[in-house]
Amino acid sequence: MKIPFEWLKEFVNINISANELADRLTLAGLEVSNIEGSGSSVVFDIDILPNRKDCLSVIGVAREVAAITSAKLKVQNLKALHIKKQKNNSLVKVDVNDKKLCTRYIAAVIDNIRIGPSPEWMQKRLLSVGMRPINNIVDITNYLLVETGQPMHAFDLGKISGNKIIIRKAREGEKIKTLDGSDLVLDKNILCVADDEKPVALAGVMGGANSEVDEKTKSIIFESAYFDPENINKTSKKLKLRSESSIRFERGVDWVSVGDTLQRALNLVKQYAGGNVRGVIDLKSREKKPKKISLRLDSVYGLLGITISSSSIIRILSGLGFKMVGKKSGSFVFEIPLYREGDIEREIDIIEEIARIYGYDNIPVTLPKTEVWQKVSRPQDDLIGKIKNIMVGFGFFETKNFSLIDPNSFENINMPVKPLKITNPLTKDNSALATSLIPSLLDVLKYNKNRQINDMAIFEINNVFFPENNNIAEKLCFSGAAAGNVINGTADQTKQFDFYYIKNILESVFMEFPHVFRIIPVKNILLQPGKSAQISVDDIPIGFIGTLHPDVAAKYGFIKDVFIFEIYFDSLLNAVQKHHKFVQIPKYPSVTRDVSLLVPREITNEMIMCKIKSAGKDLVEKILLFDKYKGSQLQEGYDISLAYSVVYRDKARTLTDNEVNDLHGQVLAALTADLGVKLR
Amino acid sequence: MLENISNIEKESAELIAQATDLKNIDALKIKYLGKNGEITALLRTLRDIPADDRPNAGSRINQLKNKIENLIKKKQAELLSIITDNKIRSESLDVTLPGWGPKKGSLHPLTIVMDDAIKIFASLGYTIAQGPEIETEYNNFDALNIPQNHPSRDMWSTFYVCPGYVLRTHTSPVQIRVMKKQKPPIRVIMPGRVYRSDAMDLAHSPIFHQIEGLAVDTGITFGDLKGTLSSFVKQIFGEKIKVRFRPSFFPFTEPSTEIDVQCFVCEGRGCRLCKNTGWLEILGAGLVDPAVFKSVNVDPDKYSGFAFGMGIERIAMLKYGIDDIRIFYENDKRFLEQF
Repeated sequence: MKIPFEWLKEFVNINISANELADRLTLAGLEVSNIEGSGSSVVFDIDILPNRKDCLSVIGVAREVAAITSAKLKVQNLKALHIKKQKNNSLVKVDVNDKKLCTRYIAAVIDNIRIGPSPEWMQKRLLSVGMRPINNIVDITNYLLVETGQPMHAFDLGKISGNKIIIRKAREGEKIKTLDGSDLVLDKNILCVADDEKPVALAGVMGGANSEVDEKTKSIIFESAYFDPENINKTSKKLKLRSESSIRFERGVDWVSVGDTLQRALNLVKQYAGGNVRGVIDLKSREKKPKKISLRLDSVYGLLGITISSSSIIRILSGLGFKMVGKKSGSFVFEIPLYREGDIEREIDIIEEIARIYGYDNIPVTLPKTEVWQKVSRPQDDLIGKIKNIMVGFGFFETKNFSLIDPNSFENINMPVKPLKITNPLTKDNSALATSLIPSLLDVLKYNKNRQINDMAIFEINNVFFPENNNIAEKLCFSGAAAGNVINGTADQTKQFDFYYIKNILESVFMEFPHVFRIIPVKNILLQPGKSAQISVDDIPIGFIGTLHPDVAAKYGFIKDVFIFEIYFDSLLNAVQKHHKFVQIPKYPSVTRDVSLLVPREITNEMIMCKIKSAGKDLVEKILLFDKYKGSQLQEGYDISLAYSVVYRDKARTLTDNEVNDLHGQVLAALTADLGVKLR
Repeated sequence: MLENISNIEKESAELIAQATDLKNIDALKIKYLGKNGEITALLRTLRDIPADDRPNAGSRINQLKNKIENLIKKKQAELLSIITDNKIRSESLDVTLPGWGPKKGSLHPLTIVMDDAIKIFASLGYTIAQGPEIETEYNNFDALNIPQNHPSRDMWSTFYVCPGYVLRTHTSPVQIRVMKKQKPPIRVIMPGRVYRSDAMDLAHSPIFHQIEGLAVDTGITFGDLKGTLSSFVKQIFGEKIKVRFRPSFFPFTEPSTEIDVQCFVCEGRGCRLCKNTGWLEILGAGLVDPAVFKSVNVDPDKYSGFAFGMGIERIAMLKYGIDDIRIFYENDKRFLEQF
């Protein structure tokens, strides 16, 4: 809100510079975000916090200045003429139909006014706060809105049908053209001001064009009211219409100011537009009294951690207009002015006021006294950190992607699970909750490829969202994608990313878990057949790894193979314990025997390893594949030649050569008999 | 006999001198010094000569044996040094050629900053807690003293997932989840991803990261909040940074504060980064509002606490001098590899 320095000075003595005042206001919670102009034309731009509706006016800020500089408020300028009240039976009849949504309505009728420009000083002040001068009547309402914070409205009485003002809820479908020129359709929850035919204003939000004051206006009705904050907030949101008026009503205006401001308006009208006041009607469905709140000194000390004398507390609070009305040992009762209604409702609210004026910077710095002994890090967080570091060590870059994505990017790649769309997206690009991180990772590779960066390996660990029987499951997902060369810029074909490079990295990651992971061939719509595998733990699939299907790759314009993987691992993370037991290093020597095999197409490495293990009983410690050959030299009927070193060891004694030879013989026999492999 | 010895002496010296590799030398060693070598053969013939001549002949044979041994050792050393020299000469590297194997990747800068923050609070005894990104409207707003149809709710522009569920607008609902489950004393740190339906620009992103903290105990004061957060700010931005606590408003804290650090570009003189205020806002905090305690059944007359929250992107932008929030989500390799 813009507050001119000179205007402020009308209500409070200020003996410090504009810059110093700005600093003091900021440190008291009225942040001065900008100071415009210089000398006598300084205007402060103050960010008023949502709870400080009382500061949405020059007078409100003046009160605050008085409190923080211990200056006196100049109240003489608030005095108004006393105008005799009329009964609600003169020429204009006011009917407050909805007494809940409009608890107070004051209407003043003034005849024989002269519409013209407002005085130059008033126009200048309006311009300095960014308001456009219109005519004397409208300018007076705007001027007082800035000065007192009470929004008012003036109707052209000549345009009011039936000399009647009715405050009622609109009828479903009723229409109004507002002063800003928008045509609005109302519903039965919207409060309006109407004559006996039609709505003439959206109560508390904006006047109607049909009752606008113009150069021909002779008589006006001035309105000053208290409208229900919640209803104004709803209406303003529903109609997407915010005004200087609505932002004040929705926070609750000052009950006392509703009357005072009207009086002040009548003064200004008399002075600058002439006319005779026919009468003032003040309808109240209730009376508001200032709230009394007690304050315990112990709470002040205990929460703020300061020692402050009770006289200082009383001085601070009376500076804010809080009146001490009661006193017991260790506690006081304060009466809160109505302009702080809604903001100061509880003891803690008063304590905040003390802290604010005392100065946050004056509160001593301490640390919580009691120590809390608890496990600082959770095993799953540590493990995620470790996995990220493993990935980084293997040359992968961690990426962060939006979880809100374009649903088409899922359809593009035939993702099996349809993503959930949110109710009110900003753009289509960010309208669905991702069920997989793969589309985003492919987008990242594409983004970089378009910038001539063709060699890149990336990963992300983040939540994805699955619609699951009337619920949405958030799952922690670990995904990666890699394309091009492992080593930047090399022409060496053997140093390109491939299936086994990625698999090796995942195997390194799996070593951090106590689980046994299996990677077995499975068809996946995203992956190239034959280069597609499922990752499972205890026969439960938890993810996949493979080469991106050429059809999908083509959609992204990838020329080189892209390798991707995705693993859902929150269930695994939760099972991980921080401490695992150390295993004794073997005391007795091992014996190694090599075996070289011709392997038919349908037999996998995994099958061979399993067979060696089962045939070698508990004495097989390790099996290492040390050679792999695929080529035309192989005997007909065999696809590949594989050579293994089998390491035999007994933990309790030294194995003899004969024993190992026997056992190895049994292993070879089992391999040839059960798997149809041939010894080379 | 003696003639034989001098013949062997002559022949062996020649053959050893002619040897070109270690294999030759090994063969010569066997030829002369082996079990069935020529020296052994000579020793055997000793018994065939007169007893008086034996000592002299024996000593000659021993001399010969020592001589051959020495020659072989010398030759071996000579050949070894040639091999080493050859190896050194032939294997010399251009050490300025690049190293072999994949280069490391990097963690995302947001992870780095988040981890830094977590580490600092972990050292103060805080433990990590997490909550879902799809949150109930109740936990995200009502329980945090942000009633429906109240202007304070407008502080957060919200994405709705379905009736009653929102994409959390802050990590604060995790406070509610923690306090419902755990009795004081509480010290938790709550990192996470949050959502606002704000259009993307230099400074705003509809998706960003926050870290929230909460301490609840008997006797927690505003001074404790100041001490804890001053310490944090100094650890993140350096010992010398100036910190300012400014009154603010959040529905879920009372009193509330915003924490500013002195602008490190202009050192408080005012510049474009700090919008001429000399200060940069980095944290929101306050004492837990009694209304929040009530919503989770914690007695506000017995316990007090403080809560704080900050945007990780904001801290990262200030720390690394980044002026456009969007760069975090572009994942350009040339950006990522700088961290």
